[in-house]
Amino acid sequence: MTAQSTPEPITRLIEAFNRLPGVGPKSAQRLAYHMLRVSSAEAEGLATAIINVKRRIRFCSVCLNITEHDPCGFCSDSRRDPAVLCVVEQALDILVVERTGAFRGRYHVMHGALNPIAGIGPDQLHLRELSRRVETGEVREVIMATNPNLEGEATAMYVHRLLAPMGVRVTRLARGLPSGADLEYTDDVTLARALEGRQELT
Amino acid sequence: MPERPRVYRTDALILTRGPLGEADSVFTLFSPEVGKFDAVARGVRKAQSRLRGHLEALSCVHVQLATGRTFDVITQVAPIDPFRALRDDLEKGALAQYVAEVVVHATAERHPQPELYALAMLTLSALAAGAPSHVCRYFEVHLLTLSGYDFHLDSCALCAGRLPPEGSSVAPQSGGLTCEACRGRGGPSVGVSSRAIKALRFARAQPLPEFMALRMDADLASELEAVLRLMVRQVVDREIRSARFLEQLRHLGPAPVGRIDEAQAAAEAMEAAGAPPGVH
Repeated sequence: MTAQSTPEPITRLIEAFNRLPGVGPKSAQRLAYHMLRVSSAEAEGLATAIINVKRRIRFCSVCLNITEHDPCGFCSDSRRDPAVLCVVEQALDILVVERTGAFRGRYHVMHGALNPIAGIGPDQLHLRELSRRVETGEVREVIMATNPNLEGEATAMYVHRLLAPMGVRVTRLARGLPSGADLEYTDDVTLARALEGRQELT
Repeated sequence: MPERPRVYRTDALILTRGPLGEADSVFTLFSPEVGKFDAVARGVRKAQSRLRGHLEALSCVHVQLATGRTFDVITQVAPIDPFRALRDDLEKGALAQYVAEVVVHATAERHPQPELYALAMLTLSALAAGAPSHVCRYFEVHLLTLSGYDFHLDSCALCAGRLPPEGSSVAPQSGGLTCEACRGRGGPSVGVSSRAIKALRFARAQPLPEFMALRMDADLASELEAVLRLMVRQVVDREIRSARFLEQLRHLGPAPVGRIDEAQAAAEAMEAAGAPPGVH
């Protein structure tokens, strides 16, 4: 029905938008018709931005972060400590860790977490690159900054098993109460972890 | 079909969890009353979510759901057993995921199977309590029965003749063990030793604690694993992906001494770094 009444380029654009995450058929239609109304310059700007992302952005050969220049800014920054690696599930997580301002080491992006049921095993993560970095002996500590869920925990444990024989220290982010939380509303699992990870007042 | 109630409560085992949209998650739940079904929890990936702590794959919870159009929506959760031990140990977790994946594929949508629920709970509880990995074989043997697959263990599945002590094989398409004479007549088959046959019969006839107490050497364990993998494959009609991960874990070598240091490491690191300001 729509295919007949709507010109072909528009249906193609709608289909393309529809494939984006979080965009349903209605939103896709709205976006496509919006693109008709905007100026050519703006539309071309969007198109070039997308093309540039695909052409110029690649994975850093050291840490697999997304970057324009290889190696990426973190890996080539000599002020950052190469002996401490923070291992994250996705490149976006680097931004989150960076925002804390509390980490001055380097990163490693696995691009996923172990999820055997979904068919994501160790081979699908960039662990070989991580092993190679640790094998050089330059790394003293590997911090597993994976999500505190089943997949993230399994990944942390797996990496620990993988790297421990190389004599590197593997740590993971502490889990517990978020700042400003109310003890009364905390779930048992989190509170139990918080108790385990309690710290002495100094 | 009678109209489903707008709000209902049930016990459920969380089989899988996946992301949905910006901050939601979709869960595959397995409930004794409802069977296997998908439900969504809104905003559960955000830190503020009150449901978050209890909703994790491989835990058993009591949930309240509101009937929705595509997915029912989880509105309240109370933990029954979070099976924490399954999360703290890589091997146990991988075995439990294997069990969960088999349940996902062996069940039909919204078809109550209380016995299979009980079996899955029994298996996960045993794993969490530190049972040896062959409790999964017990799970598989009984899963076959509950899925309506009558695993022929006492006579040849094809000629109903007596099974000789040696030379038997297992042929999933024919329904179980076949004698030497029938070998090859009932689809692909693999040889099976007499002690493996005994172990299979034992698993079917005895309660779990008896089977767990069975001493099993590495050869027998891997033979049983291979035989039952074939049988399960026949019933669920697909490869169980988590099985591959179990293989990979085996190649990884034994667990290093000590667990990942958490608090201690943090304290040490802060000491070493002279506790920089801004880090709490």
